Amino acid sequence: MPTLLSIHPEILRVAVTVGVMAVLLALSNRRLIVVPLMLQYVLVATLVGSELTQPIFIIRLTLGVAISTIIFITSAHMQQALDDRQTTDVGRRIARPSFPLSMGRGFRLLTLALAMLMAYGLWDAYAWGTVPADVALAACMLLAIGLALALISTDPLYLGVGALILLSGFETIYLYLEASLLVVALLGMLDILVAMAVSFGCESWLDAFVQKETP
Amino acid sequence: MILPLLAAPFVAALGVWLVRYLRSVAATIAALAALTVAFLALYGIDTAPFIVLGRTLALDAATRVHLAVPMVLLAITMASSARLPERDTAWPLAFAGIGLIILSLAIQNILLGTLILQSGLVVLAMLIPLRSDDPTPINLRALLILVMAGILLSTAAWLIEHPAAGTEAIPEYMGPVALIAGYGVILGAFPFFVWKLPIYRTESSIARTMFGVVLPHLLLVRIIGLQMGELAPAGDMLAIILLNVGIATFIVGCIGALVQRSVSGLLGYMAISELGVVLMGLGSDTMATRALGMTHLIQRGMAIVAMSMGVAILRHSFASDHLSDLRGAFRRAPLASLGILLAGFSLAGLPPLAGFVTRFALYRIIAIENLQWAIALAVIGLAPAWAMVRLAITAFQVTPVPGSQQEPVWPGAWVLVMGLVTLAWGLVPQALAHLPANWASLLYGLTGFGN
Repeated sequence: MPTLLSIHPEILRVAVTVGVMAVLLALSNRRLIVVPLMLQYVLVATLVGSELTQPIFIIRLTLGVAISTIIFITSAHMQQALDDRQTTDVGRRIARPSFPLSMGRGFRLLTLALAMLMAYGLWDAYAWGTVPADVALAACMLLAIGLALALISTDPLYLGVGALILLSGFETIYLYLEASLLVVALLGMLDILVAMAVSFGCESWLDAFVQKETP
Repeated sequence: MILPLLAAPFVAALGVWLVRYLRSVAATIAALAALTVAFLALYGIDTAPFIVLGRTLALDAATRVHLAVPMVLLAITMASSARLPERDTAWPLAFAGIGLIILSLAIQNILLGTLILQSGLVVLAMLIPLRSDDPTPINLRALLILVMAGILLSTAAWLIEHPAAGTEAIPEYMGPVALIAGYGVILGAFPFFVWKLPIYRTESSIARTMFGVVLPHLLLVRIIGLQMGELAPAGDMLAIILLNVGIATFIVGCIGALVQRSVSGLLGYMAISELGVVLMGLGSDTMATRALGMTHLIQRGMAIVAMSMGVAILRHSFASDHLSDLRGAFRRAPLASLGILLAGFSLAGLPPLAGFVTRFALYRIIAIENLQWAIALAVIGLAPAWAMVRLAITAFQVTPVPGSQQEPVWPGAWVLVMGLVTLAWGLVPQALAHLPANWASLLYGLTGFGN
C-alpha cells in the first residue's frame, strides 16, 4: 500500500493541492471562496481525465467553471447586500446586522486540517482495488473537507460550498468506477442542480435575514 | 402510454412557472395538472414498457396506483394554496421534483435511477422556504442531508450492480443494507428524522405535503417493489430492519408529540410516529400486515395534508400556530379547527377515526408475538392523543385572541372535508372492500395486473 512518504509525485500533488485548497477555504471571505472551489474542480477534472478520457476532462472542467460562476455571482450578491445594510435610506447609521458568529478562521483551518488527516488515515487503511491511489486519496480528502466545512459553517454559502465539495469528492471515485456517457451527463446535471439549489437557498436566506433585521 | 406520464410534470412545471404571479390561475392550473398526472398514472396501467437509447422505461401497476393517490392529495393542497402563504416558485419546483422522481421510478436501472432520484431531491430542497422570524438555513441543511443520502444510495446501487465486488470487507448484503439506510434518511425514519421536523414548521403547505406525504409514499412503494429484486440479498434482514426501525420511529414520534406547543410541531412528530406504524406494518412481512401498512400510509397522507393546510390557515388567522395564540380558534376558524382536530385525532389513532382501525389491528398482530410490547406501544401511542386534547381545549375556549381574523373559506372547507373523510373511513372501514379485486390487491398488496 503506497504511503504519503513514498516517492509518488501524483500522491504528493494531490495532497498539496487539496492542502492549498483547504487553507484557502479556511481563510477566504465570501467573494474569494470561488477560488478553492474552482481549484478542486480542476484537480478532479485532471485526475479523472488523465485516468479516463479527454472528453470527460473537458466536460468536468466546463462544469466546474459553470458552477464556480454561479457561486461567484451568489457570493458577490450576498456580500454586497450585507455591506449595504450598514446604512438606511434616510442616512441613519445602524449597527452592522448581527450575523451568526462562527468560530473564526483558525478553528476552520484546524478542523479542515483534522479532516484531511482523517481522510489520509482512511485512505491508508483500506485497499482500494483497481482505483488508483491518487484518485482514492483525492476522493477521501474532498469528502472529508466538504463534510467538515458544511458541518462547522454557520454561513449558508459555506454550507452550500461544503455540499458541493462533498459531492465532488464522491464523483471523483464514482466516475472512475462508472464512466459511461449517461452517468457523466447525469452527474453533471446533479452538480448544476446542487449549485442552483445552493444559490437559491442563499438568496432565500438573504431575503429572510434582511427582513428580520429591518426595524 | 408512459411518455405522457413522464412528460406531464415537466410540462406542468413550465406552464405554472409562466403564470406564477397570477396566484389563483397558477394554483388552479397546478391542481388540475396534479390530477392529470394521477389520471395518466391510472389510464395506462397495463401499458407495455418503452425503450429509449437502450434503456427501459416502465412503471408497474402497483407503482402507478400508488402514484395516483399522493398526486390527488397534492392537487388538494395546490388548489387551496392561492389563498395561503406560498412562494411563487413552489408550484413549478414541486412539479419538476415530481417529474424527476417519477422518471427515477420508471427507469429500470437502479444505478441511473438513484442519480435521477438525487436530482429530484435537490429540486425539492429548493421548495423549503425560510421563516422571516428565524432565517436559519434549514433549506441548505436539508440539501446537505439529501446530498449525503444520495451518495449513500449511489454507492449502494453500484454495490448491487457489481455483486462480484463482494469480499470479506464488503459482503454481498452491504449494497441492499446501504440502500435501505439511504431511503431511511430520506424518509426521516429513526434515527434520521431530525432534519425533517423544521420542514413541517415552515409556511409552505406544498413543502409539507411533498416531504411528508408524496416522497415517503413513493419511496416506500419502491422499497416493497425492490424486495424481490435488488434487495433480495438482504433476505429477512429487510423485514427485521423495517419492523425495528418502525417501532423506534413510532416511539420517538409519540414522545416528541407530547411536548409540542405548536400545531406544526405536533404535526411533524405525529407524521413521524405514523411513519413508524407504516414501517411496522410493512416489516411484519405478511400479506395482511402489508395491507395494513399500505392502508395506514394512505390514511396518514390524508390526515397530514388536512393538518398541513390547517396550520397554514391558523397562521393566516392568528399570525401563529402556537397553542398560546390559538385561544378560541374555533370561533375564528371553525372549519379549519374542526378539520385539524379530526385529522389530528386520526393520526393519534383514536376511535372512531381512520387511524384507529389500522393501529388497533397492528397492535393485535404484535400482541400475538409479544404482548408486553403491544401494551407498551399502545400506551405510548396515547401521547399524541393527549397533545391533541390540549389543542382541542385551547381551540374551544370562548374568547378568541384579539386581532385574529376569519379563516379563508375554501381552504377551510377542504380541511374539513378531508377530516370528515377520515371520520367516514373510520366508521365504515370495510367500504373500500367493494373495490374490484385487481384494484384492491394493487392498492393494499402491491400485487396484481401481472406484478
